[in-house]
Amino acid sequence: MRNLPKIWIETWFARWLDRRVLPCQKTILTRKNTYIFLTSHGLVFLLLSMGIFLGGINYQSSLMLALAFFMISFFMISMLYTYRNLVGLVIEAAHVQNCFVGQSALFSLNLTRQGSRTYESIQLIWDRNIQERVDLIEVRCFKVALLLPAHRRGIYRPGRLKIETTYPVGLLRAWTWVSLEMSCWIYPRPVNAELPAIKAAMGEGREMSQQSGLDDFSGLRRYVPGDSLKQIDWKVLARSHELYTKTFVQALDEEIWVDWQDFPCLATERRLSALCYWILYWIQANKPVGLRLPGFEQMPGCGFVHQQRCLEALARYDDARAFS
Amino acid sequence: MSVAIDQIPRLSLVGLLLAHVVVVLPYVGRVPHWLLAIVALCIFWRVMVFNELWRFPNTFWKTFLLIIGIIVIWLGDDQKIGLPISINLLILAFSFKLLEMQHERDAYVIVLLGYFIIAAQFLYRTDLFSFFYAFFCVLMLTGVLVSLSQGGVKKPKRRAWKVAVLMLLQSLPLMIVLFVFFPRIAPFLTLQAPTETARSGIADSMTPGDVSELSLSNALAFRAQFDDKIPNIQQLYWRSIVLSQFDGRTWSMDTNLIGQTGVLWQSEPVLNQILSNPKNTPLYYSIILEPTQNHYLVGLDLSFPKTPHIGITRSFHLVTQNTIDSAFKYQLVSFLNYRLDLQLDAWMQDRYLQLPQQGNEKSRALAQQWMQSVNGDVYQYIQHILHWFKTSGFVYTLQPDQLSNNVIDGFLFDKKAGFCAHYASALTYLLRAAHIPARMVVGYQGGELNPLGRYILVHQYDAHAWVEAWLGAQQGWVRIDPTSSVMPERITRGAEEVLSSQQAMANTGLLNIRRYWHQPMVKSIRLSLDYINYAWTRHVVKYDRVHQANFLTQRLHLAHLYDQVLWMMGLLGVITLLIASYLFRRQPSVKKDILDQAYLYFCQRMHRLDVTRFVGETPEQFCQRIRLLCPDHYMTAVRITRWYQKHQYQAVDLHHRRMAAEKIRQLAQKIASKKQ
Repeated sequence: MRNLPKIWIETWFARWLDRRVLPCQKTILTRKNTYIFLTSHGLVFLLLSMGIFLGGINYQSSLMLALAFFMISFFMISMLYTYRNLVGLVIEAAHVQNCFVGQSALFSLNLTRQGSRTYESIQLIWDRNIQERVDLIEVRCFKVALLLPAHRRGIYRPGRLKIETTYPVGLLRAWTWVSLEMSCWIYPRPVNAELPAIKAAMGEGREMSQQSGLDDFSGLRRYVPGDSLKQIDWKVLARSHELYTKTFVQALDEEIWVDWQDFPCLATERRLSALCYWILYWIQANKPVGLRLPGFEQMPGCGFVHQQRCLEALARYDDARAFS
Repeated sequence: MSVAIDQIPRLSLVGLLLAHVVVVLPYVGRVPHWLLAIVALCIFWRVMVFNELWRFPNTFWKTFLLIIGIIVIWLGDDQKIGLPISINLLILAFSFKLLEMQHERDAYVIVLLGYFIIAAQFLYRTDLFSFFYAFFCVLMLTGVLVSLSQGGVKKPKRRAWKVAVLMLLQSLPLMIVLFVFFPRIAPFLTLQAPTETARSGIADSMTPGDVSELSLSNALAFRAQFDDKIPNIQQLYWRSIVLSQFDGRTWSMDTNLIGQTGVLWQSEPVLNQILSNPKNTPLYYSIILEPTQNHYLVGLDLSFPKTPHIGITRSFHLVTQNTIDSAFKYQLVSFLNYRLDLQLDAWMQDRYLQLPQQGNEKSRALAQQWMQSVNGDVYQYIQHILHWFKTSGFVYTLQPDQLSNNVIDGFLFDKKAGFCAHYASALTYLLRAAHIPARMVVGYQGGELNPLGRYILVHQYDAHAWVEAWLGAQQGWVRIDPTSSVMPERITRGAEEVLSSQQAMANTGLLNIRRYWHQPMVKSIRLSLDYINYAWTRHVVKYDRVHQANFLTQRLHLAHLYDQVLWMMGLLGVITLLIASYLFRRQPSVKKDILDQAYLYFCQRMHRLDVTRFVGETPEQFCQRIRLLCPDHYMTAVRITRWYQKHQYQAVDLHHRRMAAEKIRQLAQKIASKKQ
């Protein structure tokens, strides 16, 4: 109960920020979105200069006063410097990399400086534990890769990024909130689960099925308009004056389907983990594999793009709305 | 990761250790020596930790050192060490923090403590050099601050210093505005500034017989700036104290005459009365007195203060209520042709005739014998004594022999060698013995004119003693300087010049600075430096409430506080804006290629004919579109496109690129002219 006001304030503040900091692809830090305030060291520094000022007054020491005035002037100048170390910076969303639950999702940003102004010791804070210090002195553009741990399956929006700096004297902190339009899919964690007996046998037995193809000759059939001229059996035409077309067959593995219904006894997340495991298993084994989820079907296929599609479908799966 | 950020960068550590040494250095000799040893130990320990040879001290060592430190401060705090204990403790804490400095936060604590220690230094040092030194200290600390916030990443070392120097220089104008305009507030706590260890200047008693060698210090006693004409150097008798009590060996002040009741604190009525007489020509001047740690001021004979809180004693020297702990500036009015005490009460005459009952019998007898021989004529009597000094083999020396019991007898009849105090004390004695009220005045005589600032410098070696005799209702007190009859050059050429030639004969060491003191080169450098320091003291160190009010109202014509604050805010704003506009100035954009510029010019021309190049359209595509939309210019467009492509995408030297750009421009110009 004690924390209630605090929580309330935090919520209110987060909402206020949501309204204020709109997500975008690219932000240029300006006066409007950059804030500045003193740090604890800065507060001590100001108190100290006040102390020296009082000392100067009471000891009637002009030079002590001069030092106090100097400290205050220095504080004002450092305000400009700290502010300058942030304003004008361009922040762009670069790219993201999806990942599995328990891994870290990679979000990369481009920090670019304009003109000849340099930036130093800029901290990017996405979370209390995830900080990155960036310098833009020699380089014009710096790509920052932030690895954010993924805990939940689904779409991952990293939320507001806080960019702050206390450079050059640590007495003041300038900061800004940036909300970049970046999101990535967090796939379910691949966890092995026993396939149902029938499916397992199918996979092992490699039952063959036939599909028309071009490899092996299998017989003739009557010509149907549209058949390739190359496949017409000219010898038969010469003998019988009738058009016949040669047909061929291709040896093919049984289509493999990884199906939602395969794991009826598992809870949703566990189920998706199992599906994920098997999709990866078959794709690694270079077998075409299809995915069936309630309301979703991905025809069997191979390759990276296919894998991405399947995994994304798994990530996107929502019990309540099940791809309706 | 958070741990790594928290650590102190090594560069900052080096800077911090250096800054620590620099900040503590001015305190050498002012804090107990053992405290300095502890400071050095702390620094050494930290350096060893830095080099990974030692470890941080454990709790036992820390406690042990702390106890030792406090004991050292406790024992060292006697009267000789003037600085308050708090500063000693501050330095101790400043150094101990080094032994605990592991995190960034600790480093900040040290830097901030450092600012305080720099400030405390101004309590007893105000000259220009120490100001520059303090500025250097601040620079060091600021450099450390910058390098701290740069973080642990490897950085070019000079960068932190460059940033620190730039920031300091940019803060200076703001500081100056604040210094000049910020309203000075009257002190609301009565704090006694820590007193200087060494006493300098004139002591409040004098024992001529004990001194075997008068040490002549080159130290400055005071500076005097005259409003109008500077009087002749020979006329400058700076009165400091009056000694009228003699116990046979020592001359001291008559406490009855200088006690609180005997001091006139409000001298304006008297002064106005004197000024109302047109025969009295006033001499206005101001004096900046170096700290003396006592209450006595200096002034030309018969001075009246124009600065409040200065009193005149019954024997006409100036005193203050507080001791002079820092340079003190005050204004005086003097009357060189004065008549003092035409009426002298009998009880006061008695005081100025006081002599011990016993001792110095020969002198007493001599005085009475001479007084009888001139039939009681006071003037003749004095002339007689001075003549005797001149002709009877008296020698002026700075290294007289010590005198035993009967000081006056010993000097007059035996040694016949001494300096001003000997002659003055002997003459006073002889006068009193002849029943003439007399007293000894101690102060300074002469001075050195600094032509740069047209002010008079008076050093400790100008210290002098002379005699005043009360010669009845006609004359009042009359100054008699016996030294001038023994050694007239002392007055005409100044003390130092005469004495240094005498001393240079005695010790011919090459390193004796006094030998070079009056060489023209040395003298001019010395005087120039003094001029700078004088200006500094006058205009900056002594820029107090009164000075500020004068400056703002008379020079800048800002009579009201409201105006002053407004001006201050305005100036601060303007300066900050200027610096900000410099810092946030528009950065030079990357210059466009000349060929691109020429091609864009062509596009602009085509745009006038309503053929606009799309964003991202290649020159080739654009050219094809021109063929469809505007066949008239197709050939020109083809030529321009060829030129552009050829020179842009092939390695061509700058000269040819320029030529191509020119060609494209010429062709493009034709497009528009055709339309017209």
